[in-house]
Amino acid sequence: MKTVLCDSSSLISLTDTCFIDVFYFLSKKFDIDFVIPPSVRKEIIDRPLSIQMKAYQLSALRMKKALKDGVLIEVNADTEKEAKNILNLANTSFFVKGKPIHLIDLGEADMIALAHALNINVLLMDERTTRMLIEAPFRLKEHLERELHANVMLNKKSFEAFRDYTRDMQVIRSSELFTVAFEKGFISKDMFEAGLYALKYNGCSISFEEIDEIKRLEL
Amino acid sequence: MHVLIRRLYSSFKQRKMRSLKKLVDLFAEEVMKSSSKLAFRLSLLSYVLAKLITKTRFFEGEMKERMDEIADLLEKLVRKVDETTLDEIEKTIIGMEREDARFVFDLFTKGRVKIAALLYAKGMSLGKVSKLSGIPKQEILAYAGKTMMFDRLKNEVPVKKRLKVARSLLGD
Repeated sequence: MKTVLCDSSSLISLTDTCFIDVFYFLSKKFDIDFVIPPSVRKEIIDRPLSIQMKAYQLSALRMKKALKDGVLIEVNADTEKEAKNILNLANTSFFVKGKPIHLIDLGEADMIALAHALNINVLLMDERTTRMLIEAPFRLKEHLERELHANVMLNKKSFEAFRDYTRDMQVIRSSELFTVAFEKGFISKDMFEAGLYALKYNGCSISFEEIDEIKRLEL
Repeated sequence: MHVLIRRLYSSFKQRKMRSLKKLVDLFAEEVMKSSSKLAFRLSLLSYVLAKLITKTRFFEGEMKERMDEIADLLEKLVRKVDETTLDEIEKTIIGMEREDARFVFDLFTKGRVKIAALLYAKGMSLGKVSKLSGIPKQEILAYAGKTMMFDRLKNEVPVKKRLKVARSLLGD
């Protein structure tokens, strides 16, 4: 049994492109648990349904059904203190002109805290910033310098402590999950290619170059 | 920030669209540096004003008076930066749009999505941007996905490596 912790960004990309069945396909066939924290449920299921956010109700209902069907599983752990610590570490890792750059939010810190607490090392995340913070913090630093036209300083203490939390974590995006599902017969070739673009246009942080590479490898 | 607000006023007075668009970016940089809600509002206002000055219908008849009113309020904002004056400016613009409604989404809503996506592109996280702007993640992702923001950065982890991780879930 493998476990994947899902961020709201990937759930949004896959549901808005009508590919929520990827979770059904993979969980049943390959015994994978796709878990979500309560904060994700509240954000993308409860909130759109309770305040009548018409544009997102259909996706929310699809995810609600996936939860009911046991394809998405809600997990909880007492991570409040740890999440706040991770938030503080992430948001004091980079400084510009003597001030810390507040890059992430408590929800994102909570994802990392939960993964750490439950010993889950695969995260499904389309969101770019938190992903880069985990995988390529120096590239993120360079990016911030370009965008802010200023030198960005690194606070080694915070940065190293944050890395300790995320050292064993690996991130995949909806595009990779979709690709391995395709490899196992989830969808036809032409639907697969179209699906990759649909995921990109719906917010999966994948470049055209990467889509071309996946196509070269898979088709 | 004060220098930027003064520039906002003069750019609007002189109908300098490019300068207003540049201010959208400069205020967004301030948001990145300080997570300031005020800077976010000013970035948004710069966007809305840049749009307003391109529409000739807002420089005719009664609308012209409203444009002058906005200029006066901006001048007031230069003298003293306060949220109340910003509220008044926003109210005036929303009123103008309402009287001449042409789109489902008003300029402020559109601008909020655009600036949220801009901040996300600059490096702020999706959750943080969503909180700051009040725009749901779904909308920001849909907008960001149709821009080139994910193509401007080189791959952090090779696709092959990510696929390997994904395949390991299947026992391959």
